[in-house]
Parts: sequence; C-alpha cells; structure tokens
Amino acid sequence: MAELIVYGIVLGSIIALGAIGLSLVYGIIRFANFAHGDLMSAGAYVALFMVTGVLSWIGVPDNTFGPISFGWRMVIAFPISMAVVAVVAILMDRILYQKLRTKGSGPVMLAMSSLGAAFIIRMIILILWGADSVFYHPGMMRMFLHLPLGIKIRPDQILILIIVALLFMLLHLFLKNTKMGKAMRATADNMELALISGIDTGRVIIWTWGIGGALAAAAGILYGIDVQLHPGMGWNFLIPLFAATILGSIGNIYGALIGGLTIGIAQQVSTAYLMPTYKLAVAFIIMILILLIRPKGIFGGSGR
Amino acid sequence: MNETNDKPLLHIEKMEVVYHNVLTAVQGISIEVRENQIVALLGTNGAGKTTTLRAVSGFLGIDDAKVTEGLIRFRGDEIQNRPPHLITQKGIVLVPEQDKVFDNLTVEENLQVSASVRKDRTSRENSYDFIFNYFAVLASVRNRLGGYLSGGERQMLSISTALLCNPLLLLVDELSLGLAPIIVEELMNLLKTIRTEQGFTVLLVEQNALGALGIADYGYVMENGRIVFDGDPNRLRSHQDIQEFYLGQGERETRKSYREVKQYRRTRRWYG
Repeated sequence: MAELIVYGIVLGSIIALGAIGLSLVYGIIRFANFAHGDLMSAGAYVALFMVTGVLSWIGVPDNTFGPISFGWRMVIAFPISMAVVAVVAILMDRILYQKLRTKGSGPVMLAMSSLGAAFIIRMIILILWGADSVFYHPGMMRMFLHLPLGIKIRPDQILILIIVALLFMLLHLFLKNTKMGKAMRATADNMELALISGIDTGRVIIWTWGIGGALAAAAGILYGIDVQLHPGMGWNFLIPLFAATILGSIGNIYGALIGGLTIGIAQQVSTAYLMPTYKLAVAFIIMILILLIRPKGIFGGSGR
Repeated sequence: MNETNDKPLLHIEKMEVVYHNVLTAVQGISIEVRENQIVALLGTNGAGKTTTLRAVSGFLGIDDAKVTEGLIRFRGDEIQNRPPHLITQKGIVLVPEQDKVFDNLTVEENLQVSASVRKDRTSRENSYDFIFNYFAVLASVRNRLGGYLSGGERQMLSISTALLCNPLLLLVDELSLGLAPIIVEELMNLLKTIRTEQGFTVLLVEQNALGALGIADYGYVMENGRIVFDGDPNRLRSHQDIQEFYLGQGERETRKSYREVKQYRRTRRWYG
C-alpha cells in the first residue's frame, strides 16, 4: 500500500505538471484546451527525436548516469523539447485560437477546435513514429532501491519528483516576483481590469501558452522516462488532467498541484482493488463526483 | 458654456452608441471637459452614463457596442472605437464601477501591476510615496489580498492604480456606489485635492448628485440616453427637477406621512 502511494505521488506529480499548464491556459484564455494532453505526447516525442536522432548524429555519448536510465542526451533534449513545444503551443494560438477569438467564437467553439488540434498532433506522431510503444533507452535494466515499509522505487522516479518540484518552484517564483508573472495573475483575475491597467494582454497570452506548452512537454518526457512513449499517451492523460484541474479549482496552479497528486494516488491505489485498466475510470469518477459535490473545486471559494 | 479655455481636453460631439447593432443606448450627446476641470455626469440607472464612459475608454468593442455617429476628441485626436490599451496610453484612465481591483493580488501587487506600465523607473519609485501620502490606509494593508479589502479601501486602491497610469483624464464610474456617506465625502474631497495637486482632469459619473456637485466645476444630467440639462453646480442645484429627483429635497417640508408621497408628483420637464 505504501508503495502504491509512492507510485501514486510519482504519477500524480506528472499529472500535476500537465494540469498546471491546463489550468493556467484556462484561467487566462478561458477555454478548455483538449489539445493539452497531446502537447505532452509532442514533448515526449520531440525528446525521443533528439535522443535517438539529432544528438546521436552529433555524437553525444549514449552513456547513462549510474543508476539513472538516461544520460547527457536527455539532459540536452529535455530543455530543447520544452522550448519546441512552447513554440508549438504559441503557434497553435496564433494560427488557430487567436483567429477564433477575434471572430468572437465562444468557449465551445474554441474547445472543439482544440479537439481538432489534438487529433492533428496525434496523427503527426503516428505518421512519424508509428503506433508502437517505444522507450528512450530500450533494454535498460530497471533497478530498484529498497526503502523502508517495503517500498521499491527506481532512482528515475526520485529524479522525476525532484524535477517536478524544481519546475513548480520556478513557476511559483516567476508568478510571484516577476513583472510578467504578476501581469499573468492579474489577467487571470480580471481580463478587463488588466486592459484598463494598460497590461499588454497579447504578450500575457503568448507567455501563458509558452509556459503551458513547456510544462506539458516536461510532463510528457517524465512519463516517457517513467513508463514508456506511446502516441495515445497524452490523450489518455486528458481525463486525469481535467480531473486534477477541476479538483484544484480551474485557474489555480496550487490547486492543480494538489489535484494532480490526489488523482495520481487515487489511480495507483485503486489498482490494489481493481484491474489496472480501470485506472482512468477512477479519475473520471473523481471528476464527476467533484462536479456534483463541489463544482468550483477544493480551492474555489469565490462566486465567479 | 464655460469659456475660460479655448479648446476642451475631451470633446464628445453628438455621439450615438448602439449595442448589438440594434439597441440605441446613447443618442446624440455632446459633452465638453476642459483641462483641470471636474465634470460630473449625473443621472439615474440606465440613463447611459456608464455607456458614455465606456465609449470614451474604448470598452464598447468588448460589449459588442459601437459609436455609430458623432466623434470623441481627446486633445484634438479622434478616439471613438479605438481599443482600450491605446486609449490608456493616451492618458485616459478608467476607474471602473465593478471589479475595481485584482482580488487575488495583494494591495502592493495591484499597485505594481499598474506601475509596471510606466516606462521611466524614477517616477515609478516616487509614485509609491505619493499614493501612500494620499491614502495612508493602503500602506497599512499593503500585504492584504485585494479581495479582502473593505469597499472604501477597494475604491482607494482602484483610484491609486489609476493614478499610477499617469492620467491626463481620469474617468470615475460611480465613486460613491455602496459606500457609507462619510467615506464618500472623504473620497470626493480627496479626489479634488489630488486633482489640484497632481494636475489632471476628471469626468465623474454619479448617481449621488449631492456628493458629485460638491466637488464638480460643471455638471451634465443624462436621462434616457440624452443630455437633458447642464450647467455649473449652482445652476444645477437650483433647478427644481434636480432638487426633487436627485437631491430629494422637493416638497418634503409639506409632506405629512409616507402615504402622501406618490412615486412622482409631476413629470420632469427640464426647462428653465
């Protein structure tokens, strides 16, 4: 049981990364971006392309760091993939969503178009890499550390937790202390007042997509390191992402973190009682329960 | 009309505003605001006061409304139907009626967000002192979230953030709304003081005619989307209709009980 909770925290921290991006985008641009899961896949596959493609041609050595299942190639690929997906997310907004917004399309129209964008990303991945599951380092021995309480954990998983915590701290400091971070929070709070105050909301939107995309890419890569890469991985994450976002109150990044961890733990613990294939149903049930009992989420106090 | 200055800072000429292409909210109104004046725009609910302010500040586009006829001139430039951020850059800053402050940001962050619009660093640093000079209360709650402020503090913060945008023309929508009379009086006087010391111009939209006329240099009365009366505060105050319908004085002395008070003892005529 303790072990399932620890695995749940690992899965949950990955869900949380995605949910934070989703929540940011929802809070500022106010629509449900169904393509967010597939941005995660895109991040994972861009990193794969770097690790097995570009970086091996350049000649970056393929060794791994001691007990960890990746090496220098991944260290280089990780930030590059985050940047690439950030640009992809910004371009998606420029090409698609911004046009719809200026035409006065409602949130439903935007959500549907994001569904289309999700399919396009997934199909591009299918065409380029095929439908099979792949690994960053196939044939790696997965070694375990034995912790007290009978917990077996891979060094990779500890690293995942550290990376998520680091990214979250960075985001927190960015939102609290920088000019753009404050402008983002202000815009999420009240778009009209932000315009009155002379905040350049166009730039805020670009930053929001950039950060959301980068975090999604990070989540995708971390899941790829923890489990495997699959073209449908992001799509399968969509329900946990939305469940975590709604649970933590839409637009609240701290809520998204708590929500992600909760959903992750619930999913993993459920495998003790249910077949693992029902994991997604668990996230879905939690989402429905929250919507019925507390539609504004655990941190949603205000009437808006 | 007031003939002290040659050209008005803000000149609304025969402006008509139409919502959703069908609903006319404001019909051919003309308003002049001269430099360093406080001009009050009075009227009841739905008279078109807020619409007029939103037309000047550029927010009609967001409401799916448009200035269909007439002009808005600010320092000679036509600004009707321009987007809000360009109008803010020109020096027209709105203190809105609702949602005045960012609820999830602290008082200090609210001020910083506004101040960050300023280009020059030196004036940004000085600006904090002058805000806390006028609104000492804000200094004591600087780390509190905007959502937890009292109505008066919210209004002060809202005015402060507007001041940090370096306004030439401050548009204030319902300064008195939901506030205790004593705070309204304090804020009105403070607004006049700040106006005099900082040297900007104010267009004040108010239902509370008494308070607004106390500080205004000139006033307009709006009804059903039209300007029905205008003049300096003394002229407005002495008008019978304004006394009766806005200041609530009327024939009160002769009233014996509430039963005798009819909704309207006579219709408004607006002449004289």
